[in-house]
Amino acid sequence: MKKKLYGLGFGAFLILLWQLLAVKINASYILPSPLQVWQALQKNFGVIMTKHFPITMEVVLIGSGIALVLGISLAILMDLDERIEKAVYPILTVSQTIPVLCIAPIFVLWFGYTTTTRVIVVVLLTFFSITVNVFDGFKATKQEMTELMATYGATPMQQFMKLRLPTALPYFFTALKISIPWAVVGSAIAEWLGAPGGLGNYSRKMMMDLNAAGLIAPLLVISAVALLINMLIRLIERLVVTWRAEV
Amino acid sequence: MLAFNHVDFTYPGETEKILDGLSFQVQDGEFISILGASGGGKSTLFRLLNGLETIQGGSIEIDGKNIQGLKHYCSYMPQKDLLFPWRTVEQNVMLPMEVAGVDKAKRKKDCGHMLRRVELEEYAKKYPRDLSGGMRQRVSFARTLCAGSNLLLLDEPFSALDSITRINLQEWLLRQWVKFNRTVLFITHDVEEAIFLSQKIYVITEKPIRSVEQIEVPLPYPRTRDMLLQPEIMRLKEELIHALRQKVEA
Repeated sequence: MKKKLYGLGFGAFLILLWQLLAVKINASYILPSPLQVWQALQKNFGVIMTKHFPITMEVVLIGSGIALVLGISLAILMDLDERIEKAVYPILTVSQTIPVLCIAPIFVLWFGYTTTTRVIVVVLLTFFSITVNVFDGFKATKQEMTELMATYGATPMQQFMKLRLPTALPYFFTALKISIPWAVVGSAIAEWLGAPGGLGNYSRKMMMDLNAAGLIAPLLVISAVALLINMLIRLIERLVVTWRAEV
Repeated sequence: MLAFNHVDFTYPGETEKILDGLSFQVQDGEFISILGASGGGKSTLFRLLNGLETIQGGSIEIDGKNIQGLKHYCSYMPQKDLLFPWRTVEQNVMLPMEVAGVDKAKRKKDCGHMLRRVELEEYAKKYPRDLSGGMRQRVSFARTLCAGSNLLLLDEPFSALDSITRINLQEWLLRQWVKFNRTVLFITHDVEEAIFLSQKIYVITEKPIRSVEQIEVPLPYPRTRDMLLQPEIMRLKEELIHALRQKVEA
């Protein structure tokens, strides 16, 4: 609790500093005050939540869903067969040096300003950390435990279900905590490329209008959603992975 | 009866032989300690028995049958407890039966029975993290018993415990041995432990291992710790230490 108080206190101090600075600069199109941002959020809350929020979240849900299936499958395949690992892993790593947002316009050429384009961006941004974390999780299986299972006569399937999968579970949650909030951010940024709406799209429109307060307002929603999802994952993790400290 | 017949073994990719024509036997129901300095190849004997490694010459037989055609003929208890942290005590104990495909009702019944015998029934639903080191080893022992075979391979199971817990568990293990009537092969580098526990000690003093020196412990069961203070036993202890030390210095 005391730790939280420090964080909250410092946060409040930063907001106060921001407010003072904004009042001093006195030009809301350059630096709106926190109060002005809050008012902008209140004023446009209806349109943000009913029109733009669902568009962003649709891409988050589809994108993370695909990224999870793809990432976990790849991790399992690489774990099953070393040849697949040797073939796929280096390419995966190299692919991460390509800035997704810079090549994203090519998806616009292929698929237009559609949900598909934005889903691809989210998938590319997130599946890598899922693959790598889950794969590392499988690799963290202790050799001694594998041998113990072997002395019981365990089949490869039993080794996987009873030992490797539970070992990888904490790593899977780490992957979720990294990738899902990142999917929310990625979805909003992908909207800059062009979208019928969405929080990122709305924010960009506000920029065109030199409405800095309006620009920041939807970002608050994005942060709040990312934070909420993260908290939800932590909660589920605590219920499921009760042994984390020991692995 | 377990028999090593002229067994040769070298780890794959290495040139140094570990076993060179080694032969020895263990009778059913015996408690035998294999005593040797660290790094002497004691654990290799268990890896071969477990089928984790394959011998290159000779044969290992149980009741006259080559182990290569056998299944579930021995139960191995590792040095670390290796309890799965995501499983409760009960689920850990049931693991070997689960792997062997024993049906759920029987698993549950046998496990309850076993936990009662090792005096841990009230911990059935607890997780390994809730237990002390000594209790974890007892769970590990119960799990080993649940693997169902008559030959138990215990690989320095108490070496990581503090000395009081170790002494308690040694006494506990002897009681269990009398109760369960199984054959025990017990690896240790602790001379006193070997003397206190076993009927016979197989001493390993050379590398590669060509033979084991078999020494009878002249003590009756049940044993108490003060028996270790008998002059004859003190002498045996000194001899063993001397033999092992020569090996280390050589």
